[in-house]
Amino acid sequence: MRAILLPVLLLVAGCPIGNDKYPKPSELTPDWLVEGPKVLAMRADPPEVPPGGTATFSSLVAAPGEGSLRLWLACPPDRALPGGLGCDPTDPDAFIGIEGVLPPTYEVPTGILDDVDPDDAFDGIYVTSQLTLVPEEYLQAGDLDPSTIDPRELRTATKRLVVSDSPTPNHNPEVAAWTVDGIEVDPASTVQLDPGQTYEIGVWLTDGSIEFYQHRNLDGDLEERVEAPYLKWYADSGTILSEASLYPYLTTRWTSPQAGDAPSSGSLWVVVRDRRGGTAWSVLRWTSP
Amino acid sequence: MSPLPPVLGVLCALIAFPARALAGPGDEPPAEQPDQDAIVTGPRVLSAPDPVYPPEMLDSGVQAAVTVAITLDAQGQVTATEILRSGGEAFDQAALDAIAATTFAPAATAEGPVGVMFEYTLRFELTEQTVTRPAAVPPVTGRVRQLGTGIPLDDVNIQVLQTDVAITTDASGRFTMPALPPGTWTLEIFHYEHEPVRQEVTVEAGSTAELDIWLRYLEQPDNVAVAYYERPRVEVTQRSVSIDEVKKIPGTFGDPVKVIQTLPGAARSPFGTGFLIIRGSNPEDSAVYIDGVRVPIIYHLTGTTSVLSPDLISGVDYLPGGYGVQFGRTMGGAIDVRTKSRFDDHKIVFGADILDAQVYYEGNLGRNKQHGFAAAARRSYIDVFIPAFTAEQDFTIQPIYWDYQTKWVPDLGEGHELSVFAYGFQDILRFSSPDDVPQGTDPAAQGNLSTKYQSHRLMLRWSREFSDTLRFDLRPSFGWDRVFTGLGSDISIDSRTWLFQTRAEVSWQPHPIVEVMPGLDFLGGPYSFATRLPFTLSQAGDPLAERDPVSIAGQGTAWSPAPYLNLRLRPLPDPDAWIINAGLRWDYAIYFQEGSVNFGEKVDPAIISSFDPRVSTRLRVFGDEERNGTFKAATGLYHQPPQPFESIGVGTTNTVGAERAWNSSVGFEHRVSPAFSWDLELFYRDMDDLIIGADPEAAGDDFFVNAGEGFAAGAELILRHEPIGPFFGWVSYTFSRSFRRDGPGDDWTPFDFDQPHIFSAQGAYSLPRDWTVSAQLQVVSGNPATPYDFGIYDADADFYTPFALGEPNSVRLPPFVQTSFRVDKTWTFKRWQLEAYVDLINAIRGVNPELTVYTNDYTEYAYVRGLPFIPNIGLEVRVFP
Repeated sequence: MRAILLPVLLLVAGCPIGNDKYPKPSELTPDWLVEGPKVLAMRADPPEVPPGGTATFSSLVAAPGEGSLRLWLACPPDRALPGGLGCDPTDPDAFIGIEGVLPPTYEVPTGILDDVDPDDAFDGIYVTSQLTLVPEEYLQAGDLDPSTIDPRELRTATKRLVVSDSPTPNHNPEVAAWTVDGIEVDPASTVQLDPGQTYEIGVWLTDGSIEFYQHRNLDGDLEERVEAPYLKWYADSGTILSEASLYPYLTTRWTSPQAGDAPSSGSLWVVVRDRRGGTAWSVLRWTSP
Repeated sequence: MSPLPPVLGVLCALIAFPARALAGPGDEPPAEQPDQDAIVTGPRVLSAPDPVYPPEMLDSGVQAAVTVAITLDAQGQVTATEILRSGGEAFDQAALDAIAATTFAPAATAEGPVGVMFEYTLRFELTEQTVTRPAAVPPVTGRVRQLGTGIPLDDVNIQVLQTDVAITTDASGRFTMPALPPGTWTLEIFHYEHEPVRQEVTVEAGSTAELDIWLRYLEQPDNVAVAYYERPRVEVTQRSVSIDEVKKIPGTFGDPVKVIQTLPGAARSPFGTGFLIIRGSNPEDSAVYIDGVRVPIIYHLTGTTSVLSPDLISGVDYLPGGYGVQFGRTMGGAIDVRTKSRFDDHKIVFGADILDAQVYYEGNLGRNKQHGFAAAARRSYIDVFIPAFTAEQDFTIQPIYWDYQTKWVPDLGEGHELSVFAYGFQDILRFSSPDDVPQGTDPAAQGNLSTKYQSHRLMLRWSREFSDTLRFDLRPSFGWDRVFTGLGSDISIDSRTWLFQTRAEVSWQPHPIVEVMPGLDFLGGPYSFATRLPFTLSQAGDPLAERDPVSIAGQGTAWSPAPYLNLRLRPLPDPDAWIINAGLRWDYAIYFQEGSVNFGEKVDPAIISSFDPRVSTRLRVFGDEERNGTFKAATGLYHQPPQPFESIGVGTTNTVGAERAWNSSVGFEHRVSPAFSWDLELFYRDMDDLIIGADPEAAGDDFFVNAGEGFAAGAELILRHEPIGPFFGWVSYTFSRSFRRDGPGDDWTPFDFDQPHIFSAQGAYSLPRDWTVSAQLQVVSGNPATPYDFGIYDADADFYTPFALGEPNSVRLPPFVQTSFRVDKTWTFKRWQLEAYVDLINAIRGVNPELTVYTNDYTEYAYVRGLPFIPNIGLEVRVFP
């Protein structure tokens, strides 16, 4: 009996019926991999303004697709959607521009901090900006009818514009240069890299990107703090081993695609955020023989 | 024509015991005194006249064996017989005639004689009539012991074949045979719990023969009933499983508590959680008790192993609903794990499988063996193996758990019981990554993650039976729990609780049909918590906020006395034929809180009070103890106080009250035969005052409010074959729906663990030579899930907020299907046993989605899979020094 039983049990054991039936987490597109239109970053310049100031918005969109539209809205706190989820699209005052066509610019009302507690005014309040990436097929259809829009085909993103009376308002950081295995690379150039190789990719920030600023702590005392930005890395091919870097680490490791694997050229993106609303980005293009 | 010579009918009787005991008048033990229920003395034959071999069969030369199920009452009278294995009409009648002329001594528990049902086998053999009275020569002496344990066997029948010499062993297992003439003789040795053997002995003139005889214990023998004892039921729905059953069920890691998930009403818990999801209630709505004392959790962090050694557990009672007022502070089900209070005389168990290793000892110490004692310890070693699988990764993960138990039960004499039980456990989960590999982008989330859960309990029990109608039971316990979570240097949560519990109950029976049970269920003690965060609550969720580290600490005391009164009526002459329980429970709780959590202000204590009336009944509508149909119904209120984290008011008195459920059920049980029964039950649970997160703009200072509603309804069916004969098993099916909403006017949404169809089938079969095979199949509806379709990107937080076009929990994960097999084999030596098993968990189907995960922008999804195929190989060595 046991001579039959054991082999039978061992034979049936571990047969993974339906192993390929369901998608596996390992098959999901990594967060750093750009395969289609994707908003990687939004920037307000400057990122922190006093009442009455003006900020201009821009965005980093990877693989945006031909003819897509970058529609910008902005709204003060009392007209923003709950949860910081953007602006009311039916608010006619919210529209501020179309990137590339009508520069999105927002002028902060002068009395926006009048009713705000002085401590809160020091820390700042937020004007919400919203970017909606509209695919070209909706544009070809003529007038946009909201009822015909599939929200899954839009790309929507939000960003805060800080409005304060801080004596040390924030500025955006800037990327000065890329480094590949420690060698400086001009972002405007295209670098030649070997296929299937792992490189240490990094960036240098400009002087002044890491700012000192004043913060009023819970005891009401002013203290000086220094920014501690973080970097996010993106690529359209190859493999990024760690998609984030925390200051003072400004590098990651990236493995280029194997020879024969398409494509033999591509882009690497880096986004720098100073955690106070300041943003910078840069793109490095590469080819391999 | 038979070649056999002229014949004599020879009776050979085997009594299979322990057998199913039948509760008799006045002998019903209290529901929570399990080991007083255990049968300590089996039924014995006092006198048995020679059976008559059917004369009409003499010419046929036929030999036969007839197995009869005998129901014996507490006075030793045979009240019913049934032919289980027929030897033919003539032999059957001869067997019944012989039994009718036989007198028995009744079986007994520690509390006195009880009725039992057992099997009795009579063999009609043809043999030569050679009754010889031996001449006087030196005697044959010896000793009979149990193979594997070395336990001396009392009352073993030893018969010298072809003679009328028959003796029995004494309490030390020794025997002295009357003198036999020189020559070789065959002894036939019988004992009702052991495999009969024949052994030859050579008697020589002038010398004494000394025999050493070992008998094998009949654990699951062919053709003989074994071990199952049905606890008298007083609750409407009380499902019990024996340890012998549990250990053979594959996929449970031999854990008695885990097997609850195969019984009706219990939903499947996601892999690794160990949740108890009973009749559509939240995991935190069900309570776990150890010997009637409530404990915080019963599983280690893997969710696969309970915190008690299986060898120390005597049984598990599962109460899915409709239970009495003795249990409270919970809306869902209850599980009471019973530990042993009687021990074998010196047993050491070493066990190991792929998760952990344990050692266990039990014995009776002292000059008169009056001190029962047990101790156990276990330690996991998954943390040793995991680095081998994560060597290529940028992280290390170390789950570690250990537990210990020790119990002392002195023998204080009849009607007096004392026990001291201590147990504790610790679960640790460490997760670490190199310094240059960030864990996300939050600087406060960097560093090592460590979670620790510790719990220790000292539990005493003292009970005294003052008379046949008055009993007192007291169970004080002391405990300490600590939960700590730390992430890097900036985040930590540390809570500590000292807990004092007392359960006291008087049982007074002023009239045969009335039992009054006033009691007190007290719980309380000091607590403290300290939280360190890198940001204030107002800064949480704002990616641009300047952060200020804060520490919030609080301490206080909570006291919760719950007096109750239960009235049990038994209106019919047969006390078990109709039982009515009617009870009222008053739960009162007062919480005092102070510390920085109050911002230096003095706040009033929070008070919660509730009354729970409950009534239930069981009515046998036909049949007797053996075959019957029983109608059952229950209804009542159940209040549940807030969870600890819901009980804290920040700077103010917490106003959250108890959650409430009205539980009702009605059902029918049909015991078709001693071996087979089915049980169908319908239930409905109406819930209100459920605690939900408060709307920050509407609720003021409260984080939680009693605004939620819910309901659960369903039907439960179980078909069960008791462990009578070589097979046991059960099939259970539950249809259940459970919904929630945040208040009147909101849409109902399926409960997070709403599983409409829950099917489970398991069985085990004992093969010759101590092989056992078993199998289990589970098919369960997938849990509800919310289908997220896209996300809105917060470019400051680098985070997507998910959005669903459909309703919450409007889709369902694929069904769960799992098949497991188990093969085990026991080798028995003179003083020890070795058991080896292979438990092929999830053997056939290896893919079961447990959770939906998405890409960070919610454009793609995948399923996290549950338990993979696990070939759990284990060994257990049982030594009886």
